[in-house]
Amino acid sequence: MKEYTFYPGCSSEKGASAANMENSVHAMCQMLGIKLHEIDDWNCCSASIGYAGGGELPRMALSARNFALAKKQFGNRDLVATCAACWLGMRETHERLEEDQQVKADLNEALQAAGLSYDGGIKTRHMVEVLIEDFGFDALKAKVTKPLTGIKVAGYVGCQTNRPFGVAGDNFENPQYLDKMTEACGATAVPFEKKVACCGGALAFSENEKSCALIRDILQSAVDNGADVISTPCPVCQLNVEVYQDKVNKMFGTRFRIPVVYYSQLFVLAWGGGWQKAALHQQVVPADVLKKFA
Amino acid sequence: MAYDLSFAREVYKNSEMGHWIKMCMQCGVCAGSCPLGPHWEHSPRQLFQMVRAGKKEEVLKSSSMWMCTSCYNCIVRCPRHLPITHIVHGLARYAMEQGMANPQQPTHRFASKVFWENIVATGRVGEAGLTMKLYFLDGLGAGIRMGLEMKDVALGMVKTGRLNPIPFRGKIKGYAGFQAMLQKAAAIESKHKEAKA
Amino acid sequence: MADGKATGQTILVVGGGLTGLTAAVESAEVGHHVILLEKEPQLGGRVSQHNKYFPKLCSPSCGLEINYQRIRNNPRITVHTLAEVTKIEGQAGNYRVSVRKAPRFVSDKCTACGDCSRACSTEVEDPFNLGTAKAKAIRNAHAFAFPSHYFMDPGFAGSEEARKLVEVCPVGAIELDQQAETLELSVGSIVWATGWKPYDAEKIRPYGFGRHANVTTNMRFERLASPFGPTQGKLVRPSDGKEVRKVAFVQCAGSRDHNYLAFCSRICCLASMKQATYVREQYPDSEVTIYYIDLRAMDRYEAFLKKVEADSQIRWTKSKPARIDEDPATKDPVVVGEDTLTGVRYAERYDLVVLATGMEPMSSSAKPPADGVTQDAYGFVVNDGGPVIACGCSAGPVDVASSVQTGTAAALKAIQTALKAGGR
Repeated sequence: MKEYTFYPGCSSEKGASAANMENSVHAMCQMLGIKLHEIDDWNCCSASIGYAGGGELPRMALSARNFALAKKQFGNRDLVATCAACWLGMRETHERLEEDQQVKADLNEALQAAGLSYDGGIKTRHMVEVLIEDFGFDALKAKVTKPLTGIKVAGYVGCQTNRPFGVAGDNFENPQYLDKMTEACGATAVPFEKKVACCGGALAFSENEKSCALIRDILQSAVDNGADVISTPCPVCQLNVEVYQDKVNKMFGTRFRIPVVYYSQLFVLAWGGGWQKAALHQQVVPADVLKKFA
Repeated sequence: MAYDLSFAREVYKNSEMGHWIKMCMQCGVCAGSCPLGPHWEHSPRQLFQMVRAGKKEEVLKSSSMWMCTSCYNCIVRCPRHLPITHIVHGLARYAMEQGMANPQQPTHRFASKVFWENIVATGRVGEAGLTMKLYFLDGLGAGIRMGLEMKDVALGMVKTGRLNPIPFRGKIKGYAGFQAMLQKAAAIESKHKEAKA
Repeated sequence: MADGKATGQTILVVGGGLTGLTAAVESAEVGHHVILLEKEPQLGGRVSQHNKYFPKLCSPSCGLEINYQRIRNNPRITVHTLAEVTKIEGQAGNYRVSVRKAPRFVSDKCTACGDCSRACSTEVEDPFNLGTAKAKAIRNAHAFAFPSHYFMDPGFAGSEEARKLVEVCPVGAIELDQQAETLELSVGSIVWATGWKPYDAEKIRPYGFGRHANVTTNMRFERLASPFGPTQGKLVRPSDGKEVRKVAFVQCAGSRDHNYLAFCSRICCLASMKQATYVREQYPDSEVTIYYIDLRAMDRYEAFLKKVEADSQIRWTKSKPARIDEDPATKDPVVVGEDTLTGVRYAERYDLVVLATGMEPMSSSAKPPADGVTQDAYGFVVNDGGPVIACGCSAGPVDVASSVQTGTAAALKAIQTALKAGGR
């Protein structure tokens, strides 16, 4: 049993947009022998657009408070996030705090107002790093009881698990880890030109039509390469590419209807966890093509 | 005509990661690497050159910084490793601080008004409230229109347990301390900026 | 060829490109014994792969043939091809050098008649043509190669067909039982002239080289333009053989870029200008665009820039392109970026795009195998009194003229080192 401190983030709350990720991640961890200790009373990480309202120090203070709580509750155990933006925001704060004494002092002065302090030392990691580095592709593959044979998957890595930090030392322009996860499940990773293209991120809210044009290109590339499903590690990618398909179809006269799932859902399914545990009942575009593995 | 470096110096000191602008060699890779590149009024490269040329009004009133999707492609492609995403975020924030950001710019409104206020209100983002507030920014009529346009998306998400239809959630337990912390952080930041100015 | 007798005053030159050739003949012509090592089967290095080279836009046979003649006429030079240094020990005036010599499978009885190559049906990858063409498994690298004896691909030597070819050779030069051998040399000083290799363009993923059929590199374009190349010099595009009427050159492709090669290779701007003239001379109605960050016509080459600038069919766009897409239907490459003089975002379609890739020093991967060698952050060898005297592109990115100058300078330094330290 490997244990980690866990930061779910706002989109993974009950009844929030990434509930399917949250549910499948918990099932995946249970099956793999991972125990997650959720930080009690965590707050939002500021996501990718907190810079505007928050500025520099208040934005970093959000992550610093989570670090301080994590340390108090669980010591220096690795802190794991599942959301790309949460991981990125925390990692940025972590690096700046560890490297810059002034930032560390300022953040502690702010934390003091909340009766907290943080002297550093907790490593912030993404769940896929845990899978790759602490378990390895072979171990992930060894657990497969229902290989997803014949399923063609477009591995949509997206932006924020890939840039600017990257996962497992992978190449920014053509990361391999997600395709390797697909292959570990027994499915086939198809070539996918839009693997690291942006879906619009948070601008899907404020610049929806511009984002829909990006989403159209991503969907088109997946379909052109014969994908049955799109898989992703990022909750913003998943949401945007899944729920705006009807809107894209209206805007561009296309007829996309392709399921967009999380890597964690494919693992749970391939490990024999079934439909509910994989949270596949929570897809807006139903992933019927995967039903036979449930 | 002499160069007026005052705005550039202001940005180097007071805008997040602004000092990196000195390192830009004006190659233009950032513009072509950006997913919303064609929609920018000025590319990052242009913004940086305008900073160096002292064009404060044009830079801070530009809608460009608000086109950033935070995809970080410009950072990893920049041949000189400028943290372009952060510089652009910094300029957007600085435009707000200087009261020069266009209040009608959609991402500005969303990021600074709706999103940040949503975090500060409870400690966590409530997605339903966030969406509603964004839709109703332009009044009841526009809100209902947007709501109707997006109702299929919303319904699909409610049905799959991914959108809580009752847009209320409580505050985090340590809310008082959380609020005090944010105020303190903002105060420290302004103090630093005054000291540098 | 030479008596090959090694003494304390023997000078070892590693690398048989124009730099190493220069160092070898300059040393030998003032009376020193020289051993010249080349890892390829024939001499000539990068220059031999060019169509034309600066400063006078000569054909490579021109400058190389003179040097081959000087070697032929000089009994003090011993040449070993297919030879690589594996170990250097000792000190100035008295180095012991181990060399691994790979089998050629063809002896020096070979008269280069070509019967074996014509009879051979097996084709292999051809490093000389940089992947633009296949070659016979037994061959000469090119028409004016030196030494002119043929060589056999090592993977082919054990085949049934190779055994049959033994009978084809009229002089009995094919020797399939040749083995790799190790030479132990004793030398007074060592000149390091292992040169450069083209930066691997596949690493610059946004430009699509290796995935987009009609995105090529400057060195491949030299082969394409060469009358001895895969198309006998006809400039056509790889996907469909169509004549190239609209060509783009992308400068600093992977150069001056912390993600790839951080330095400027100094030659690529002029190389692209030269290659632009190939296109313009072959097809009078052609159009060329050169994308650049800033133009660097080093040293005396400003005049060439002026000449190229006078051609109104050659356009200049100040921009480092962000990416190159491919139209799946036509295989036309589309260059995308921002014109930094106008701020206009462009997406321009071409018949062919040539990436002006830079020079990666050979010594970044094949380091001199000796203690006390200093290399800079990019892998170039620094001349700080260590066991090897670097010249040409081992020491830094330079053009051919400068390579020759540094080769001569290295010869003098090598002579001094051998005389002073080992001096008898």
